[in-house]
Amino acid sequence: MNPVPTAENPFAGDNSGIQKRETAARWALRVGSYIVVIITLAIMLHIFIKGAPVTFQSKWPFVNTQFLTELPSQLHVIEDKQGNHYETGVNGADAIKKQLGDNFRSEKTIAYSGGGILGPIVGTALLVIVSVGVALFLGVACAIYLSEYAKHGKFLEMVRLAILNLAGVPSVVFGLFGLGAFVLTAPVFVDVPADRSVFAIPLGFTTLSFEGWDTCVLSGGFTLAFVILPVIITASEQCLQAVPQGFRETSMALGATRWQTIRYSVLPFATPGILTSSILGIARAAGETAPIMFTAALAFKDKLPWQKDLPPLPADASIFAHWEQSVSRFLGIFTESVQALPYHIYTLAAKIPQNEYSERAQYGSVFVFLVLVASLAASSVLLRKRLRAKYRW
Amino acid sequence: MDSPEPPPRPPLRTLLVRNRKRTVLGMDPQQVIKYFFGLNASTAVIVLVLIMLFLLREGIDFLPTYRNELVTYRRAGLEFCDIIDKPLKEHQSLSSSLRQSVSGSLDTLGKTARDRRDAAFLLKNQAEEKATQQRETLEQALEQAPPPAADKLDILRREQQKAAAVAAASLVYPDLFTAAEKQQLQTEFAALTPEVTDLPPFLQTLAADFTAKDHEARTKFEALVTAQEEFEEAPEGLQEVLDELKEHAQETKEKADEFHVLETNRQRLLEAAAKAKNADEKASLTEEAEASVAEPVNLDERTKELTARAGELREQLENYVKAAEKASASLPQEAGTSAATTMLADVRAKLPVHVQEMRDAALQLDQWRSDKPVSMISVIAAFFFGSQWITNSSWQDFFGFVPLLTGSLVIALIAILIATPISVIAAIYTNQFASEREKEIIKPIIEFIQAIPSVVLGFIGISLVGNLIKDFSEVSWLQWVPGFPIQERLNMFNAGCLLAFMAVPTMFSLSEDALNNVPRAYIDASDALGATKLQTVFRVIVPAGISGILSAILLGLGRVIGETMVVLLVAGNRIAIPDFSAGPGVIFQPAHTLTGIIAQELGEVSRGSSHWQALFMVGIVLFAISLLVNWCARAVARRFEPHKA
Amino acid sequence: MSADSTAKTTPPPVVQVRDMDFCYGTSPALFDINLKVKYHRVTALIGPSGCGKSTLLRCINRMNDRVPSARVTKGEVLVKGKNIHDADVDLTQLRKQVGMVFQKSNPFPKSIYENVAYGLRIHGEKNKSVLDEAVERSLRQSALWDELKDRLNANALALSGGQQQRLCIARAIATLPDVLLMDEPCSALDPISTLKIEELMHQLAQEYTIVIVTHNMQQAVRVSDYTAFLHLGKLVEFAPTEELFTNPREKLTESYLRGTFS
Repeated sequence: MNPVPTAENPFAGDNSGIQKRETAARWALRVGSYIVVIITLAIMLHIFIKGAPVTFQSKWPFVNTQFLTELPSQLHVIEDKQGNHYETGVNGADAIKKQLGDNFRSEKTIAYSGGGILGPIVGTALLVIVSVGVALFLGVACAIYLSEYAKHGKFLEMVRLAILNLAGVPSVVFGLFGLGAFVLTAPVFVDVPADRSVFAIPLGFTTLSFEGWDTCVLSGGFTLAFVILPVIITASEQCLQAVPQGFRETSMALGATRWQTIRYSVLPFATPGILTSSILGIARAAGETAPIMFTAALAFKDKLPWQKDLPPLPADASIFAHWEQSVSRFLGIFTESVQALPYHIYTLAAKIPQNEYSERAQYGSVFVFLVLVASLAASSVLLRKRLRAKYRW
Repeated sequence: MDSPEPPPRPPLRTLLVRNRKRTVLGMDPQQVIKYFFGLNASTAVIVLVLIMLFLLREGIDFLPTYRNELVTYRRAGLEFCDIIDKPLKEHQSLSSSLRQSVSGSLDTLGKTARDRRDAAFLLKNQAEEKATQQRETLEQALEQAPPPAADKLDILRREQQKAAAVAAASLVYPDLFTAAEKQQLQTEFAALTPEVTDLPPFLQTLAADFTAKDHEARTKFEALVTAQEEFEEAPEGLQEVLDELKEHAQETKEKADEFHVLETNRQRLLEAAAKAKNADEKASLTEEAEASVAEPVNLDERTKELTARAGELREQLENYVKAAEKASASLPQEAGTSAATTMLADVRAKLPVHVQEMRDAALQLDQWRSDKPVSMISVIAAFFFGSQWITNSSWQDFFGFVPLLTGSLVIALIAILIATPISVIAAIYTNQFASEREKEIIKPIIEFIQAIPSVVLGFIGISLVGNLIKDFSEVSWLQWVPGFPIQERLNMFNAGCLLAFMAVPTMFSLSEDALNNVPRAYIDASDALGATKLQTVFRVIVPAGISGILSAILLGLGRVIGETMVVLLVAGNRIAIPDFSAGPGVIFQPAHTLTGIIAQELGEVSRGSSHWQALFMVGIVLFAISLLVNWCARAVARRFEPHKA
Repeated sequence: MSADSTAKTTPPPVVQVRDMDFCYGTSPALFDINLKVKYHRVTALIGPSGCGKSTLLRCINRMNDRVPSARVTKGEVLVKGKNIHDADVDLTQLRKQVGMVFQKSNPFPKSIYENVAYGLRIHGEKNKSVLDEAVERSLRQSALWDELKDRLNANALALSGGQQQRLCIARAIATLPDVLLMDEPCSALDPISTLKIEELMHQLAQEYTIVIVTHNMQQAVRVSDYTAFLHLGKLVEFAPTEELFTNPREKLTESYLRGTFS
């Protein structure tokens, strides 16, 4: 029965149908939302279940140090006549073969799947250091201009539009840009410019030649810097805007110049926020693959960037006696191409067959990578929450 | 160190009004600082311009290079051969359909016999496999130069016998065989020894059975079988002539290329010689240049040799067409099974079209001219509307953009169709219905997705999602879904799902912002009129936030099209236009994408080659697409934003 | 229809508030309110800012329900003789019959027609001719028909402020409510628009019972038949407007009217 408005109850109405519909719709929406949540958790769980056993172990120190501190290498799987399988590295293979003697049946090798992932971790760290360094410098300066100096006008409009568009450029296009700009064209000081040099400026004692940096940490880092630049600019500008206007006015009213105001009354309050937000940029830079594919990353390298075939420095002398050499060797790290975690995962996923032996390296790397990136992102979010609670003007 | 008198403090006033103007390069330092920051702010603009410049620098030469290649393609006569070669490819697919139809028909009679034979042989292999070790040992012993003692051999034999018996007993015999036959098979397998090479009798019977049945079937479907064989053999004569011509054309092309390389080299050397300051250097360079002289190829002469054989080609073509028509006429209406009949009907429908295409090709042969110029517009069309992306080919490289674009678009469409409802629903629920506690769960988790690197998702696509979809597609009660069961684990649908997952956080956050920005007053008004929550949400809040939601969808689309690693790993990387005749099932086919092709191929090509330039061209198009999508998103956001006006 | 049936008999007060206390969470906002709103009369609620006039107004159509912790802690609110907090009261029906106009005009970002038809649509009316009729009637009653009849499909946000507010009134009366609540409807308008709305109120009072919150005492004098003065959550005085303004019984009222209010 449909209650209709009457004299006794002018507001009677049958809302049971409506109620049912509302509840049904609410549940439909709720289920829709939780689908994403559940899928996300399921993927995380899957990676955790498959990857955690590679990274952790039940004995002290509970972390599989071998996986985290060795360079990637080939995995040798040796089968004996009883059908037992032995997994081992390059060096172990011969020993086991000798030991098995006649019992040896077959051996197969699986590329990249042995050893650990120290090389990729170091490479990613170097790339992140360079890219975040560059991006923070450019990004914060840009944000200061936008927030403190810019007046409404064509230029500001253009900059904002450029930042928006930069954020939308596909990462592989950044890769192409990095290849064209840094790998092939960026300026270097050389004695004799190479053939491919776009143009060279003689400076007397040396020549500034636009012949590119080749694939190296520096090229990759700069490319990544531009990928994360929009993130850093936006985050920094928000932090600067969050500093109350009153701080600036007070400072200006005391006769401080614009720069003094920024330096003493704005930046100190915005810096913690900028730094926390830039952690998000680190996470993004560490996670990108396409921009470093042609600019920095190698599929395989059996040395760390600082392991080079150079004569050792004379042992007797202190490091200061050879500081020039030391510095140039240190800088040499950045002109090496490296392995990087995301590219390593790509290689593991695309270049070798999926089987029980490659799974260890694959899920192990993915797990470590995800833990690194996710903890960076999470810490950024948490720190920002903390800061917001602390600095409430 | 007390000084007798403290130094006089500067009067406060002088300190405050002290003229502190120092100048840097004739400018006020404040100005310098300002310009410094302004310069940094313009990096975003500069980078955008630089991206464009560098893409153009590497890519812009593509059009002339590709044009030269196409000119060579035409003048060396490769195009001439392709006139016939391209339509002839259809013969293969028709022929394979016919073959399937024939084998389907033959199966009606011979299937059981064949299955029984195959199963028995499979079982035999399994039995042997299980006893391999003992068998190998025995074989080695038998082959030893001085044969081992007989008793030793006996032991080995017995061991082998035992292993074979165990293996035979452990096998699962399918129900194709009766109990007695199973028993017999087991006995025969148990008796397998390396010394006996003849097949066991029952297996022989099975093989003979099949041959007999097959023969019977072939007699029954004689018309079909002959027609198929005739059709299969029909193009032999044509193919022979064509292959000769192709070889000739290719030789011409190689010579032309070689000449081109040497010639450019000579030019470069001469230029260097002209610039060289040192007389010796100059002399040596000139000498080198003279050494690099190559015989110019008379292209016209050589292509004439090709066109001279056009008559022969036409004749063979006519033969082929006649043979094909004959085969088509003798094709029976019915095949053994309904599937085979459908396939047959399909072939019968396509054959006349194919024949017509071949006839048209014959006409084109006459009109073809090797010296017809290749216009720039046709080169641009060949890139943007070309349906083939063929690289590293020994015949001719084609850089047609359409297969990549279709792949990218279909995948993006799948992703958007999946991601839009999910993220909009999640945004509506979180913004309007969820309790605070739920919000604190849903929002961070969805935003967390953004932090998952795309290569990890790509890996998940390979290792997890692909298998899930494949297993799912083999479930029997889902067979009504078009495209099921799927052939490839890695396909467009798989990539689309993962990209949808990636796009969700972007679309969710932006949509939620849009809903959040809907003025409170609208909700008040709607409530005061007695609207229920649902009515308010769907009649007022969502329509008011629609611009933000649309622009969120567009930005999600931009993200999806630009994403590289997921499609590179998961989309299957088959460079071909997906076969849309498969209906909606097309989404389960593999494809390649704009982003994927760059990532996959750029590492392997040499700088400055046409392939390299083509990849940069793709980059330019991608860049343009991203700018366009961004612009659209902004335009949409502005267009429908009345409450902010 | 319900309006007709009530009109025949001598009408009881359309809105009656009895001994009502109202709290936001633990902080009380209204104390012991007693108010009888007469049929087809304009009743004004005046008082200093924060005295609870708007809260009282929002009690009448239970708009306060949306604030999670807000509730009536004592007494009752009767509309057309029915306690609106009873379990068998359907909130949508109540709000359909008690319309509301807000301080700031808030038309939906839709066409003028859709704005007016919205109330009917959400109550399930689909018949186009009924909708057309209701839209025309409401726009005529709110004196907008002549101005807008040619551009019913134009976006409502393109109208001027005064027009928007009248459109909101039209939207509220499209469902033929018995009571129309107005929460400072003219505070954001210029004098001319204000005048138009006040004229409109006089006309509307023929068909609707109006309760208006205003901080403008002249406006109360101009438009209302009865005035209630609230102070600090208490109803200080409730009387016919003329009486209250010329001869206030309470000292507090007098000092407020004179402007010598602390």
